[in-house]
Amino acid sequence: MKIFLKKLGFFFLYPIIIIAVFAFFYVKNDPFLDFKTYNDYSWKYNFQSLGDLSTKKLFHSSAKYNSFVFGSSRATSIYACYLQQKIPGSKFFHYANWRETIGGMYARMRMLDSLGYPLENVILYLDADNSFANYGKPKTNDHYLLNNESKYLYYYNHFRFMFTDANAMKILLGYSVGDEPNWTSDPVTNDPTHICTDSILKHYGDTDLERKDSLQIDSLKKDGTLYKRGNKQEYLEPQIYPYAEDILAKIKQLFVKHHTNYYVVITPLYDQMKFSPRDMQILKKVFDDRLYDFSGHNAITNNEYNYIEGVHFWPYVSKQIIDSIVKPGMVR
Amino acid sequence: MQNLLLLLAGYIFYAWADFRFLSYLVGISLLNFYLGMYIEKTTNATAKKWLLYAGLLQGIGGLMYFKYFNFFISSFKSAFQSLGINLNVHTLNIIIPLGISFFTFRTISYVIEIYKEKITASRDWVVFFTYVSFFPCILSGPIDRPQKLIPQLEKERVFNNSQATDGLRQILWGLFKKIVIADNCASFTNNVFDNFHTIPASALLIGAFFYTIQLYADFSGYTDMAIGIARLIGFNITRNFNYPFYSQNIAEYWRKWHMSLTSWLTDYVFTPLSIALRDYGKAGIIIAIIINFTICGIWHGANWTYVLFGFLHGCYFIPIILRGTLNKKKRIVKGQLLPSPVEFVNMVATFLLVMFTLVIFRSESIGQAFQYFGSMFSMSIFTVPSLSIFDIHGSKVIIIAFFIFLMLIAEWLQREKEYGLQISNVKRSFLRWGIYYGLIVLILVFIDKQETFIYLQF
Repeated sequence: MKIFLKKLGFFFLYPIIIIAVFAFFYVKNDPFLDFKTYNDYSWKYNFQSLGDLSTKKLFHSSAKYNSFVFGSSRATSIYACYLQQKIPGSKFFHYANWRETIGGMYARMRMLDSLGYPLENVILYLDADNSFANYGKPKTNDHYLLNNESKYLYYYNHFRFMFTDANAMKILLGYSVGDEPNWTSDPVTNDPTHICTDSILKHYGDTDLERKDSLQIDSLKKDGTLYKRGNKQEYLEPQIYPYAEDILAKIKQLFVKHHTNYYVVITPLYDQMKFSPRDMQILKKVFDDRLYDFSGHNAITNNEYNYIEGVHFWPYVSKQIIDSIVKPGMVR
Repeated sequence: MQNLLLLLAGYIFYAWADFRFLSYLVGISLLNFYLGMYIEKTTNATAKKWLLYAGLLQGIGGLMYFKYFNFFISSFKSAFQSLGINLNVHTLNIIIPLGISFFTFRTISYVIEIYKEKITASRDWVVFFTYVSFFPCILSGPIDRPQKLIPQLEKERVFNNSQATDGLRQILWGLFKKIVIADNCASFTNNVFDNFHTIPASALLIGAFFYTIQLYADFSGYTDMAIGIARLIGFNITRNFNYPFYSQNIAEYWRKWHMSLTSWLTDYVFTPLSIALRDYGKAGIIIAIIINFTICGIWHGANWTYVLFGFLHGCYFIPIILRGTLNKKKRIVKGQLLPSPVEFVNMVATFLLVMFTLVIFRSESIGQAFQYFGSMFSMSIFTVPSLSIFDIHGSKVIIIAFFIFLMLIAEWLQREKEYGLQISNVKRSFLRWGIYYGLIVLILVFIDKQETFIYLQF
């Protein structure tokens, strides 16, 4: 038995020492903001999940939110502070996540509901190319309370990630990395890209300030970022499967329960693809007259100046969308 | 003292999983302990038989009540409904004790073996209670026979270095199969089976393949861990798998898949039935085997899908029985690097036969299984499916497929040994340790959402 235990101890000795060293640096530098409470939960590193950071921020916030923004990176162009001006009495929390799926949005709403947050106003951005990817299931790298996973597996997955990315490894060991996003989010509304100030609000929607000039657009066209699109309206294959249909129904149930003033926007993507007619019918059936479709060929998508690159549109586009859908008479 | 510790460990382990039925486990252990002694003591043949019936009634009755009562009620109800008669009967809110199918079969074989005078009744209650609740096997087997486990429990175990090392190796192999292969395959198959209406036939075929591998890696992985843990504490328990995917026909497959259940059913169901039906020749054997496999199917759970699964496996035996080759064992030549073309075709054919029945096994209803087949056998079977159907990171599917290939190759090369990682013959320790470290890294990297062991529900 002694020999066996000695051999076993020897077998595990080196891996344990190596792991312990990395674990020490990991806890010390805490790149996923897992172990300590922070004042700032802004998105700093590419490998962080925005939804995960926002969840942590929500838990540490004392603000009484009653309104929420859900969606993917496209939703970061929505300024929650602007929405607060448009909808009286609303206290918005920006709760977008990278490549957010419909399952992820529902997981957030369900958690908010279980924590007692009123869902008085909701802006939900649906992307035809992404919201129903992987059957619309939530992202696995989200906060453990959202995807019902083990807390320990969640911590472990964060730790494990550090070994799969060169930049992450540098950050783990305490080195600064230049090409990371290093964003600053609003401490209250959690707008991911800025702190809400009067100046920010004043310039929100300023097309001249944001969009690229013709030379830059030409350059993007040249490198294929802004590729040529067809004149004919094209449709995606059906992608709303039973799982996602069920999720949509559950979202609607939550809206009914909270008497939510909701706006479901299909985003104006550069590819100008539309949901298949079958999927569109499903969405219309669930969200009825609160579904706003900005996808496909239209004045926004036809204008390539509205796009930062082939994936995202400028914040002023979101302001135009908000202005066109949020009208005083419609607020419930 | 050793057994008392084991018994305590068994009860803690069981209570950890689900404490509500610990009293049931203790109760049936107590009942069968005394039944065993009385069966042995009684000289009156009729009384002996009645005591045996009492043991069987308790075991089968317990299973019937906990596992099948609601199934029978709802089946009767819908049968009468189809005749236009509405029965006002309701199902009960029954919670199934974990591992009931496994420990019940253990107690049944105990009383039968005493009745047949093949073993003597245990006089030590700690030994018997430990046999029933032996913690490595209580939740998902193997179903150890009393003649194999009880004598080991009666002896004092002495620590054996090489046996313990071997046990650890087998645990590692089981972990690799469960965490790297089964759990990752589970996420692919869940995507396919949850959305089978809307995905191409080729993806459904691959989904069925992944499920077959998942079930094997999950159950044989669990078994490897159970056997490994038992070895670590000085026990040699029943082997449950013998590389079933290298079988050349369905009879060989069942001799190699869930072997402890197959041999249990052979001894206590098929053999008595085939003796009773011996006057009917091959027809009698066919009836016996179909009944045997239908019971095998329903043992898995209260659903018509399992009944059909078992029935079909019974039917698969018909050509073998008609050819008179039921007991003919086909063996791939020892040490042969590759199978012959005929052997390979036989292996693939057997795999496909099993795979198709596992679609029924995995489906929630027979209707759903047929819908799956309907979608699978369509023209889109000739399309190349998008990898994102299985997983949002398509590359993961390729990586896991590679590990499946690796597992199948390793097990093929090791098929004369008890498990895939039995590499004690590799003389260079750095090579051995390198393989161990490699597997540990793979486990740590590919650990994903933990899936419950499939056979826990049975």
